[in-house]
Amino acid sequence: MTNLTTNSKPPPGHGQIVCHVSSSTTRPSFSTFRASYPIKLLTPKVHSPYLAAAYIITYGGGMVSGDSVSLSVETHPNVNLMLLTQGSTKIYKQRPGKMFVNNNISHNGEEESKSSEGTRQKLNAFIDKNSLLLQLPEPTTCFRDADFTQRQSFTLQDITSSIIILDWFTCGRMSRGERWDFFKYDSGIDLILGDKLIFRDVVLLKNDKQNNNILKERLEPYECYATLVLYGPKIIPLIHFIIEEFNKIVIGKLNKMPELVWSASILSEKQDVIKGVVVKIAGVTTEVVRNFLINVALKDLEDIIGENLFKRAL
Amino acid sequence: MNNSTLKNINKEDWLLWQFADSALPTGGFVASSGLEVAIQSGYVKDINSLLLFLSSSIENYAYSALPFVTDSWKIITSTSTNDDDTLILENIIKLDYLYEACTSNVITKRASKAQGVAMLTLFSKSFSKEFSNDEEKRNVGDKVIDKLKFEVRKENAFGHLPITFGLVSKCLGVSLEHAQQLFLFFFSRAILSAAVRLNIVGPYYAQRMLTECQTYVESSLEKTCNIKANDAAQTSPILDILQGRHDKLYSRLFNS
Repeated sequence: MTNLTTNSKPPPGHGQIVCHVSSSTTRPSFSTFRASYPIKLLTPKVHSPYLAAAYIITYGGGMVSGDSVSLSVETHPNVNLMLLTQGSTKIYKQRPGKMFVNNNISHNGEEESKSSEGTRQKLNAFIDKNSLLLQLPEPTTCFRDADFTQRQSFTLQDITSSIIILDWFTCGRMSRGERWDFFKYDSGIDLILGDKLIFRDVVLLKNDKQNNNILKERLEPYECYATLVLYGPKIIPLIHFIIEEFNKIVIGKLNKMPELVWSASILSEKQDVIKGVVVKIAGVTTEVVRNFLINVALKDLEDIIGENLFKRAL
Repeated sequence: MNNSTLKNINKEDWLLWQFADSALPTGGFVASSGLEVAIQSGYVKDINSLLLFLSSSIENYAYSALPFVTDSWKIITSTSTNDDDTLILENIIKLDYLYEACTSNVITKRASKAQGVAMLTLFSKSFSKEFSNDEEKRNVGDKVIDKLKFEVRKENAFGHLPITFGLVSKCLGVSLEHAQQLFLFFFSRAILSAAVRLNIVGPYYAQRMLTECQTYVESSLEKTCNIKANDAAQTSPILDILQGRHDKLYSRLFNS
């Protein structure tokens, strides 16, 4: 990264965060903390040692078609940095004049991507030695006809770096009866260790013009889905706890899908050494998923981030 | 049609019949691709929910696994020579590692590795020319498959099914379109064969459903036949979660 010290505005829709801690203190500080419309960055007061937090906010609390935001985050050694949003990220449908263009479907059912803008969000993060990044946003909510693409890439310097990535989404604006009525939700996570891709998860949900109910049929009875990735030495106890909880599950014959269903997959270089875990969750409401995160999948996280921030995050 | 054209069977056609034969020893019969856990969890309970399971599974597999078949098939080209084996193997293994990174749940990985390695074994034992013992006569595909088997044994490669399927199809002279179609046909048939053994559909009705799967396979192929491995995606998060819970079944018939 260049120009760390300049305070000039980044290009529109770009944000940059660099966080470090000097050896004489336990309080991290931001050497770069800047963003351009429509992103706004705020930092709350944090009292836990080595921990800093940043709110990533979009003006108006949401994004429309044509909005494209890109954030780069870098943590230096020994920093724990937490990224938060205020409320869920709302993705609105395309601007009226653009509806026609965006709904332009070619005969084979594929969108003509060149002519459709959609809403794009990008995050590139680098996590240095002995550092922990916590990406804990509120869920993404795609409104009717929204077209959303997100790519998040997290690069760990080495096996001493740690990461928590939460990526979750809901079925839409439930208060208006919207359920899986968006046009497209496409969200991808890359986890890179050094120069090696160790995990990739891309969820692509797209409504079909021939069958408007296709997402509803496939995603019901659940209204909220989450992917949680945990990796690295700073959160090993939590990783082991999740795996133990998962191992307790015994499935007998059910006639109806449960309110919440989850699975855990171990991330490891070699079979015997557990380095991380990927948790996938589906729940009949956002609250069911949130409670599971608080009580199981992110249990005791307040030991690292403090009770106050934990409550703000979830 | 005169006698001579009747007697001439296209070599690729013959291979396709052999490939499609359920007697082909690829070990697919131990996989239910998530159906068993979906039934036990109450997700699949009747014909309608089985059809939904089939259509979303096929599309999910077309988006997540088929791109790897496509890319793998393309690694050996018409200009590849006998000396390109090291480079080809390197690219195959890169693709194999990418699939490993893209597949989070251990059950899917396990089934994919078992069937992938079976595909390599099948090629060596039934189709390769290695029995000739003549190094010169072995084409580059034979060499690559031999070396890949060795790397899998040494645990330097995984041998995931989409990659080995693409490679073996290429080595046998199966066209890309046929390889893609066959790959999704195999997948559909395996689910339905599991459905029969799990007793939620009878053998005759299963064949009727397999006929319907043609539409699902065609519409999935339309969307995914040009997707590259780097752009692969999951389209059904619910199936991914359910499949990841397979080993938690109190009693089970299948391995995945």
